[in-house]
This record gives sequence, C-alpha cells and structure tokens, in this order.
Amino acid sequence: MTEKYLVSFVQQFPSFRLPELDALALLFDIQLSYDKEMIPIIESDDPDIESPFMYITVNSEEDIHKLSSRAILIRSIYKIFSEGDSYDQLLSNLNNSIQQDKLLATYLDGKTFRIDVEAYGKKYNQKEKITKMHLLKESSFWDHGDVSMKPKEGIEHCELSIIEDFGVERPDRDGARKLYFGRRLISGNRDAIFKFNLQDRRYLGTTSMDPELSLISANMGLVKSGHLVLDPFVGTGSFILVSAFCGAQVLGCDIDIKAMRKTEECNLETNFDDYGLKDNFLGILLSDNSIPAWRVAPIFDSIICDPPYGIRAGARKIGFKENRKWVNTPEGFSRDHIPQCIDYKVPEVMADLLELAAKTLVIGGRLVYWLPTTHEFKLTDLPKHPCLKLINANSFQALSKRWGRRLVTMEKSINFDPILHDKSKLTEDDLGQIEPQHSDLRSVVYWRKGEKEEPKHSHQKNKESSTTDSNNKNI
Amino acid sequence: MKVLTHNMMACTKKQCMGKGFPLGVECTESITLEQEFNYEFVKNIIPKLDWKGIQLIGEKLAITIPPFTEESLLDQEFLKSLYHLLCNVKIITGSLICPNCQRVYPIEKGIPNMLLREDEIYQDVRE
Repeated sequence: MTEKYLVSFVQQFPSFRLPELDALALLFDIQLSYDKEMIPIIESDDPDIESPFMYITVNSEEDIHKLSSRAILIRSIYKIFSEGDSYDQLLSNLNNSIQQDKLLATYLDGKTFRIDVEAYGKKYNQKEKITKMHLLKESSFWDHGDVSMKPKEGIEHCELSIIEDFGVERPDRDGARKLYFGRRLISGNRDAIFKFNLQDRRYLGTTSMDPELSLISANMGLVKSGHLVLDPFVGTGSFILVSAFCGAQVLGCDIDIKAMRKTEECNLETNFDDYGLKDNFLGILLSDNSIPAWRVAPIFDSIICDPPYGIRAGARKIGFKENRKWVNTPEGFSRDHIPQCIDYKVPEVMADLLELAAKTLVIGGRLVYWLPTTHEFKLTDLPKHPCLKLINANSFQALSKRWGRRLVTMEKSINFDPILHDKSKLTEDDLGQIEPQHSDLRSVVYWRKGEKEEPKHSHQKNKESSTTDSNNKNI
Repeated sequence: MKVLTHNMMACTKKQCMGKGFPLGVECTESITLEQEFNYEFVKNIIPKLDWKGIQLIGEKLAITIPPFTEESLLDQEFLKSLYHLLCNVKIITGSLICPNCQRVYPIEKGIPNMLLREDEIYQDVRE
C-alpha cells in the first residue's frame, strides 16, 4: 500500500528542497517517489512557474512523520481530500465520489476539527478567510466530525486547510493557480532553526554558518544517531553543533586555536554545554588540513565543512614564507613555537579535503561542503577523486548578483588504496578542478565595473592582508 | 581529548603514513566524565576501532578492556566498559608520541596540538 501526501515547502532555497527530501528518504530508508516533471517547477527561481507544492508517495503516514522530524525546508505535509482550479471544481471533486467519502471518514469521523485558509502569494484577513470557508458549506465533509476551535479532552483534534496557490509576484491576482483542501498532518523541523539562533549563541565568529543552512548540510550528510562526524575547518563549530543535535558524535579540527577557543569561559566547547550536547562532543584538534592527523581507515560517517576561501577568512597552512630563509628552530622551544603560515590556495584546499574524505570516510559516507561560485559555474570546476562520486551540486544560494555559494554533496563509493590513489598517479581527469573559477574568488567577489579587479571594500582588504601574507599579489 | 579521538589519530608526517599509529600516550592530567551509555554509537564504532590502540591506552590509564571477540558484541558489560573508556575518559594534559618517528605532540587544555613546525614540513618535501 502506498499513500499520497501533499508537501508544502518553505519559500526560500528552492534548489535545496528536493536534494534535502531525497537525502532524508535515504537516511530513514523510506521508499519515496514523486513526479519527476515537478523538479523544474519546485527548483525554479522564476515566479511564473515556481511552486512550493508537490505530491509525494510513501508507504505509510509513519514515513511522513520521520521525514518531517528532520526536514528543514518542509513547512507542512497534508493529506489532500480534494483539489481543483476553482472552488466549484474543488467542491464537486469533494462531494461526488465514494472514495472521497471513505477518505473523509478515515480522517475525520469521531474527531473535532477547525479550518484555516492558507494562501501562497497572497494574504487574507479573517473576514476574507471566513468568506472562503463559506464557499465549502455545500459539502459532505461537515457530516464527518465536529467543528471546534480548540481541542476537546479525549477527542483527536484536526486542522483542516484550504490552500490557495497564487504563486509569488504574479501580476494577475484574480484567481489562484490551484486550490487544495485537506488535513494538515505535521510541520517540518523548523523549530530547530530557532533553537540554534546565532544571536543566542555565546561563542560566535565572523564566518559562523547560519543554523538553517547548517541543519540542511547535516541532512545532506545523512547525519544520524550513532554516527561519527568531522568538520576539518571547524571554526566556531556550527556544523558539528547541529550534527550533535542530530545525535552524532562529533570532532573538529582547525589550524587556528583562536578560532575555536576565545577564552576559558567562552569557546566552542561551552556552546555544546549551553545546548546540552556535551555528551556528543568528542573534542577538537589543533591541526592543519594539508597534514591531517587521522589514520587512513574508514572512520567518519560524514565530513561537513565550509572551507576557508579567502573571501572573509583566508586559508592558511604551515610553511615557509618566501622571503624568509630556513633556520633551525631552537631545541626545547617546540612547545611554544607557533608555526609560520603561508597562503593556502583554494584548489589545493579542495584537493586536500577530497583526499581526506577518500581516506577517512566509510563506504556510503558523505562529504558535504560549501563552495562559492558565480552563475558561470561549470561542473568541471568541481574537485573530483576516484573514490568519491558526486551526489548533488545544484543547490545554490545567491549572495549577490554576481556570486553565491553552492552546497556540494559527494559520497564515498570506493575504498582508498595508497598505491592506486597516490597523488602522483592521479591525472587532471581524476581530480577535476579544470581552470576552476574558485582559484581567485576575491577578484570575483570584490569586482566592480570599470575598476579592474579591485576589492570593493577597502577595510576588508586591509583586514585580509593582515591575516594572510601573500594575498596582495592576488589582488 | 577523549580516548576515542586518540584511537582515530595518527602521526601527521608523510613518512609515517601507515606506521604512525597507535600514538604513544603520556598523561599527566585526566578527568572522568559520567555520560550515559550509548549502545547505538558503540555498535557503530566497533568496526572502526584499532584494537592495538585500545590496548595501549587502556594499559596507560589502568582501565582493562578484555580482548575483542565475536561474542563481545553481545556482551553488555564489555560494551559498557568500552564505551566508558572511549567516551568518558578525557586527557587534559599530556602528550602523544609517534611510534615511528618519535615526534611528540603536546596536549594542553584537552586539545592535542598536531601542528608541525615549518622545518618539519620542509623535511617532508626534501624526502
């Protein structure tokens, strides 16, 4: 037996909706299907065709509850009794079938209900809503269950919804594109976003990822209870914090101790204490992404990160500055020694990240990372590795007219072989990043018409050049 | 640093690849947490563990874990003591030593410092 339900997605992040839904179906082992022709409509930015409503088919209502327990981009899920292009059609579909009557009996008999009117792309006041409800007065559903604004003790209370889909920014607002009438079953996991609100977090940084996108990233990484999750560029720990919330045990690495630990009382670890997630926090390492401190073995179930791209926080690795001659570090000084750091080119950061994932993920484990791109992004920009296959790179968040960032999801499919997959044996074909646009993102981000690759914000430039050394020659 | 973290770690030097674990442990300060037993996590983590590393750190911290066998998976006592060692014992101050190159990595305030000095990277490149 399969059951059909209507999903109403939240309005933002259209290109993340279906990848998240697919990931959650995989996470909970749910047999999910939907009309593939809906993909361009659900993922579109174009107000003429986009819509947040889509039917999905799953095996049971239990599956709906599982999906919504984690889905960040689902507003609500409904069991639809009737749909149509007009109220007349909606009513005749509702009244003229035995099957419909059975459905109403299952969902409403012996229960109390209230009705709400939800419109996408339009706002109604209470009076207008009541007018809409009156349009349904000639219907048989009133025979099933009792109307009640508030739940009564011992009786199941339902929320029925009349849904009008107008679409956003449509000039002709005379009529809805589509009308639905059904019972609202459950909401998505939007509350989690408020729980991890950045303003309420004690320890924060300039590049802390916002909670909504962090939670979506964890969903794309299939993070769940019992898993082990790593963020190799942990910073203030947004990704591992929400991964811990999803039940995983988490680890983080950063080259900069100051990023992870401001003071004894306010650091990455105290954030875990504040959220009651201390049990899921394994710890952090002071470590350089170019020389990872992990065994080469299938250890992590997911690696989730926002690598430093040199836009706000510059990437660094340990090495010699070009203008400095190599000198021996005095013996006995090693513990207090702070290594020099040099510029760490973005394509190199990415290649090292993918190699880390190839070496340390379990088979089926996921690498999820954010990559700044412009609209001229091509698939050949992406880094590749023979052990990893690309799941999705279509999820794009616009940050300005020129650029935005993309959530890339990969899955480990082949075990790492130290001989076969040695860096020296891999070709450009194996590793991707063919003339990638992310090799010089600063010139893209701070580009201004008429000025040849000059940074837009001069204060930003100064800040950057004080933290990274050889950035000046890139600008 | 919790014991589980230690079990996943290796020396960062390129010449130690495949030989840089389990890292030796010197512990001058440690704390024991009281976290609830997490069966799901232990079950998931067992296939990933390096048992030589468990033995080594168990001896150092005087927590004995019997050798792992097929039956261990069903043995609640075994799983609980393994969880206790992996997730409840936290090394605050000490050091980690590579069994291959003897490089010493300090642990301070519970955070292992796995950064190499720039001349050590230079050595790697030279080799």
